[in-house]
Amino acid sequence: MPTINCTEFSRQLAELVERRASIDVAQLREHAGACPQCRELWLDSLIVERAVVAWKKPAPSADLSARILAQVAAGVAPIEDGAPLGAETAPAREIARPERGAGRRILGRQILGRQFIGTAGLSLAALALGLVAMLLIRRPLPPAAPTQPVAGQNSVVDTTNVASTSPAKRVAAQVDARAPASAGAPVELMVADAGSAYLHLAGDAAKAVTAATVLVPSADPVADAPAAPPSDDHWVDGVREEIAPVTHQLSHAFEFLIQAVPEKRTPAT
Amino acid sequence: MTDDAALVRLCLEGNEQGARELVERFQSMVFAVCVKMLSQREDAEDVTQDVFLRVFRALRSWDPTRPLQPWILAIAANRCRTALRQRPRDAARSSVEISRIVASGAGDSRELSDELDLAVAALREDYRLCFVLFYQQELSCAEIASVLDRPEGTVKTWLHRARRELAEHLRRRGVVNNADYQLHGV
Repeated sequence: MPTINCTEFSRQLAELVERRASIDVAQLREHAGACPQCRELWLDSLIVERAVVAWKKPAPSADLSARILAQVAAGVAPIEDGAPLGAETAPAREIARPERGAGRRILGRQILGRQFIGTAGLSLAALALGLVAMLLIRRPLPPAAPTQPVAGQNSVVDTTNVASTSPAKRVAAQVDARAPASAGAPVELMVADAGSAYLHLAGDAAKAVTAATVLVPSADPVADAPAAPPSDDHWVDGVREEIAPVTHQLSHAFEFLIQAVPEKRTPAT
Repeated sequence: MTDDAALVRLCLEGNEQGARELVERFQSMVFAVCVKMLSQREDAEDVTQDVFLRVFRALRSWDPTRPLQPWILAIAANRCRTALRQRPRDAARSSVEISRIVASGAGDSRELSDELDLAVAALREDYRLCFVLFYQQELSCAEIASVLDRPEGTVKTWLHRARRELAEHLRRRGVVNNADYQLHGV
């Protein structure tokens, strides 16, 4: 009859394996022989311990001293004094990457690519939106007509929540100066305000996203989710995700503009 | 002042001999971990180089009251994890392929260590790291917990699961049939 129970067996096995403690295995062996469940654990340990003896052979030597020291000599700036000890060990931290060999290294390209695509794409979108807005503003306005108070202008601006943005007011003022209020004016003003406001918003968004893209040190999935399964998503997917909110905003702006422009203009008289 | 601290001070003073000594003292350890983690010599060399560059960069942040080895190992562990995550899909597939080959029984003539190498390569990253640090570097569970910045209980769980998966792999391969009831040569 076994002298120890399963709990004691597990405890002693853990001592033996995890703490590398010297334990009389006779009791363990005896219990494993009688208990099928514990026998599995016992055999697992045996199998791995045996395999490890052969597996622990020294790794093929690699004298990388010269290579490493050459790169160190090429200029390795120490990180700032006072950085916490765990700074480098913490997975969330990525120090600027040293130059590494060619071929498989795509990190630099990822970072540069993200910055470039983010900046260029947003700049182009903002520019296009600005042009549309400017074209709409510069179109000849209908002549004076029994006036419609420009009060609608403010209400429109208010509802778009950009009432206080100076570009919208400036554009509205320009429109006011160029043509007195007319029957078509509210629509024109709405369009002008919307275009200007969205241009402004797009510009702000572009700056913000560009700044964020530049400031983020690198894309290291380890940093945010150590336990997450490995991800091999292409870096372009990451860029798409980053600019998705801005794209969404811009598409809203275009949609608004398209719907706001009257299909048919009243001919000037 | 400890030996490690003196060495680090030399490095921080720009002493070339000190830097060389630091590299020579720890490169075998770092390279061995990288080889076991990445299963590719070329990658292991690149990551080893990367580890030391980061070590030199972060040397000022090392706490002289603590040993240098676990600190360097922690950097190595992080770099290995990062390298594994940056591997292209093909490499990920090849890892799966290794697992499939192990399971299918191809290559019966492999030696036990090679079989275990294959099985280790198919382990989950955290388990693999634990296993390599425990069995190859012979760190204790507490030291591994410190290196990986995880609770000791988590490390023990990972080790246990790693052992179980590896044993299962080796059983399927039929490379260990006649295990007797002995451990540690007892």
